[in-house]
Amino acid sequence: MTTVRRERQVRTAVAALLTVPFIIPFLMLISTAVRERDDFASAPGGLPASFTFQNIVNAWTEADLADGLRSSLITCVVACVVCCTTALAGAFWFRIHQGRVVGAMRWLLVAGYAVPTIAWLIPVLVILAQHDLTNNLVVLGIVNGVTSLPFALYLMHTFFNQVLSAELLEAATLDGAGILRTFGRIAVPLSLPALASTIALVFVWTFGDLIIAVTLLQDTSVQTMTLATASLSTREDLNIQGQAAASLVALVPMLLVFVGAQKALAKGFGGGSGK
Amino acid sequence: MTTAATTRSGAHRLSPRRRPRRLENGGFLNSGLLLLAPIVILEIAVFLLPLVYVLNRSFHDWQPGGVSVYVRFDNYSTLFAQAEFWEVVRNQLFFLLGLPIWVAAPLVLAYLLRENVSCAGLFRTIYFFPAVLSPAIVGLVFRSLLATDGPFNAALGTVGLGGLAQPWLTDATWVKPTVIVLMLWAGLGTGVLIFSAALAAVPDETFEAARIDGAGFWDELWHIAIPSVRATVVLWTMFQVMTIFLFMFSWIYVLTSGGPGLSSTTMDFSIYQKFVRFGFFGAAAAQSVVLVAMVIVVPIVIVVIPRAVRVVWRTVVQADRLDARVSP
Repeated sequence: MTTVRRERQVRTAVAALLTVPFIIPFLMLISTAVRERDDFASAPGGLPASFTFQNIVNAWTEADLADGLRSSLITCVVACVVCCTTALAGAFWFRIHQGRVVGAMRWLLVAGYAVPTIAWLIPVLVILAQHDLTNNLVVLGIVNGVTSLPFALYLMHTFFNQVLSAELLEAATLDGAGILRTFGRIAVPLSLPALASTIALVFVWTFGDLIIAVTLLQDTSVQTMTLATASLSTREDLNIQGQAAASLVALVPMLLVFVGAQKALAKGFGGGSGK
Repeated sequence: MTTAATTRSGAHRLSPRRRPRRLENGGFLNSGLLLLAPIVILEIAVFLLPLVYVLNRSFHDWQPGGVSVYVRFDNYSTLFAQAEFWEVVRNQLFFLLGLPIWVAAPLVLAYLLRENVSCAGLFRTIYFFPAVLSPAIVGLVFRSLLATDGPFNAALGTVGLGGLAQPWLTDATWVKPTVIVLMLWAGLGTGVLIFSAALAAVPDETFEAARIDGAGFWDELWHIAIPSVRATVVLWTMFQVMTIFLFMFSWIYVLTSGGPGLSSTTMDFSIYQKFVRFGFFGAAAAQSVVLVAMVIVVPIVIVVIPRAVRVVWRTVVQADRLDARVSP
């Protein structure tokens, strides 16, 4: 019995030790962002001896993060709506229809995940530019939503296969419900847990996207929060503390979604790890 | 008459609310293609058609908005003649060297967390943390932390390890290994989550039986855990390969801008620069096509080679065994 307890201690200690590389960078980040300039300059790797919001305030105004946050939220909402409605409907269709051809089609739609973003993004930019649709947050949101479609389809289809049993679908058909009514009355209400985790993922991905935003938003007057923050890396006038402060601010929305959606995420992933 | 009425009202009772059925009886609506159409149309419009377009443009001296002259394979031959292109390809392959550790680390960790650990869920959550953060922002975090005069090197000095301090992101030798370690950091938690789910599906008896036979941690991991989740190992390996070919842009853009020189430039970053910065449109199109081809070919090679090795190995071992059996 003691060997089991001892093994437990060793295992827990190893697992705890491995959390250090995940916690230290964030502590370093916070300490870099909130120290006064002299304090940081004298001992950049030491513990903070001062506290100031000045770096954060500077970053907020320098990088115009308030405007970025607003643009990001618009983009995220559009992306979530586009992705979730389309993936939900598609996943339900693939739950009803099965067979070799349909299976191959589903596989192709999920395989869209493996198409290199830059390869389709450049022609999309050219086409959008010809129709004067660049620097447009709604277009950015739609493109971001489509990017998340393959994974969302996969996630929701797996979920539907679990919760929509053949008996349930048959019962609905016997009651005279057509495919659209079965979708609206049965599938959509039952899909809420998967829908929540998909919304969380699409939000986080869209919020954190850089490649699409930097390509489709050529004009610096329209910027998402991630783009505005990432652009700081190319600016010489902002120091390490400014970059740290800006990234600290840009992390907050994603952390909020992560904390809020953690349960939904675990459920959507099948919860197999909840052992 | 009465029976018919009863049946009809019975049917009424079964279907909760009855609207005029005209709409649902329409062939198109009833087959539900309305549900399928949006996802198919959007994916074709955003993924497929642009790829066809870029393939076509790669055979032209592409001038967006202007006249593009058909040049056959000129873009490709120019591309393949550039030393820069091959350096980028070498970078991609170098990053693949991280593959063994990206696969092994989460697997071992998920196995460690499988049983007999306090707060396993909390640990999984902490490891998973980077997965929800934007690579662009996390890249910026590490850019400031790993700067030559930044907090990480300074902290090494504070604890007396100043000799280990390096220009992690600005030195051509150190930048690629640094990126590999950062990718491990970023992907570990997702891997732990996926392997944990796979291991949870393996019946406990399998492990107990091995333990009664006296198997230790590593024996059990090697002989029981890994073979039981082999499909997941292949899946995760593919996932990591795709990450290296598809999703490095944000990291490179923020961390190093591909530098120093081209020493950390990936294919996607290089294509982006060719198109947006330098205006080599035809070359960018050709390189895009090459990237798509790589994404198709490399995973096949990575799956096929180990399988071939295993087959050869098995044949050799079996031949040895036969020899051993025959000789005494």
